[in-house]
Amino acid sequence: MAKTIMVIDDSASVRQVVGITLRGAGYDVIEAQDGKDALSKLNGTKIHLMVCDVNMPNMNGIEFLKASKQLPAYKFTPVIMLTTESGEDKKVQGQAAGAKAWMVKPFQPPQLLNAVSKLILP
Amino acid sequence: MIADDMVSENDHARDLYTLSESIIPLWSQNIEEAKLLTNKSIEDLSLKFANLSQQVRHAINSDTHENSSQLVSLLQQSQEQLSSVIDLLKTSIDEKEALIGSISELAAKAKSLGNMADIVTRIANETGMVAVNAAIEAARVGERGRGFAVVADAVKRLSSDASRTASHISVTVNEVTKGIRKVEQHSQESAEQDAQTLANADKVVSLVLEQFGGMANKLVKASEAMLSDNRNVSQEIDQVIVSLQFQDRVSQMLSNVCLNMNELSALIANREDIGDTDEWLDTFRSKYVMQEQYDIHANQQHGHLSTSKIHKKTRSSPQPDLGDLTFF
Repeated sequence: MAKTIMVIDDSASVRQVVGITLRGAGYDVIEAQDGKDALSKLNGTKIHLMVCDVNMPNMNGIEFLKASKQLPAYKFTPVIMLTTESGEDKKVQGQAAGAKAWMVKPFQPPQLLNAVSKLILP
Repeated sequence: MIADDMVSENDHARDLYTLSESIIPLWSQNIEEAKLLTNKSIEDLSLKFANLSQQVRHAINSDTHENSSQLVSLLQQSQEQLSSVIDLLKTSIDEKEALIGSISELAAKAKSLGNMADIVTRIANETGMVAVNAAIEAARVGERGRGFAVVADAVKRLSSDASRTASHISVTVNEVTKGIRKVEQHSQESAEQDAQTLANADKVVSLVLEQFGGMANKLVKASEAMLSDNRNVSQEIDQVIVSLQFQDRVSQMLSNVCLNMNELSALIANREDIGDTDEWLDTFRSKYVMQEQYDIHANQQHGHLSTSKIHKKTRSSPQPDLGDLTFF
């Protein structure tokens, strides 16, 4: 059975590219356009990994990360932050909030797939 | 004079306010519209290229190599199977040769039978002569030779029977020999034809296999070349996908500009104090998300550089590693 990855980004083109990259590698993908939308879709569905942007309206990536770690079903779900932010202070915030990796956009599809394969839940 | 200057300054400020009140919202809306149009186009392009990438990756991974291996395997199997057919033909020819040998032996034995029939005929003839001589002697002897004459008569009859039988045997043996000769001849001719057929078949099979092998090699090479081209295309497409992600960065930069313009426009419209310039710059800077924005801001503050020079300076300064990945 295919593993499920949630992709959270306010940019539709980024969601498309990430989605097609992951689906092409055999994963099922759930898309959300910001942190609030993502939380509404975390309704107990088994999620094996999340790829999350940082700068989003309504609820940014750091806020979503903190909120999702409060949910028992998603406390240990690995999260890769995929963002234009490259500054160390934001990276530190991400790490403190529970992110497992920080990838700066633009990304190479094979690079993303490599990171996913290393972190995804069994 | 000072009053005139102050009036002129006030007029200038008022004109600037009026202009700003009208033009800044227009700038903001135009930028927003440009952002939306660019977003839409880039989304469409990204989707197309991502689909292309997936198709090419599928073509690379699917069965290209498997088809080449299967073709080579099929060629080897065909060679083995055709070789076994040739071997069967050879075996059949060998068995026919053995049959011809047996027929020849049979012909030799028939000839022996003929010889035996001649001997029997000769014996019958000589026996007949003996019987005639015995009859003559019996007649010459007279009454005392009557018994002998009877025996001579019996021998004469036996001789006739033997002679007739030998004659029949000779005729039959001749006919059998003729039949065997015909079979021998036909078998020889058939064996010669089979040998020729085998030679032809061997040639044809070798030629077909050679042509098949040549074509298979060409196909395998073409398939490998196509695989290599597909890999190159896949890498190129991945690079396009990476490049198209600039839209996200541009979109964030434009959103930041629009937000700032809208805030300023609101203050101007409400005739509120627009505040300190440095505070504005700091607020604008606080929303930056990319290194390029920080560099532009720093260059602007340190000197009046043209956009192209700022761009050149930005490009020459250390860039963040795009695609940089950090595991925690």
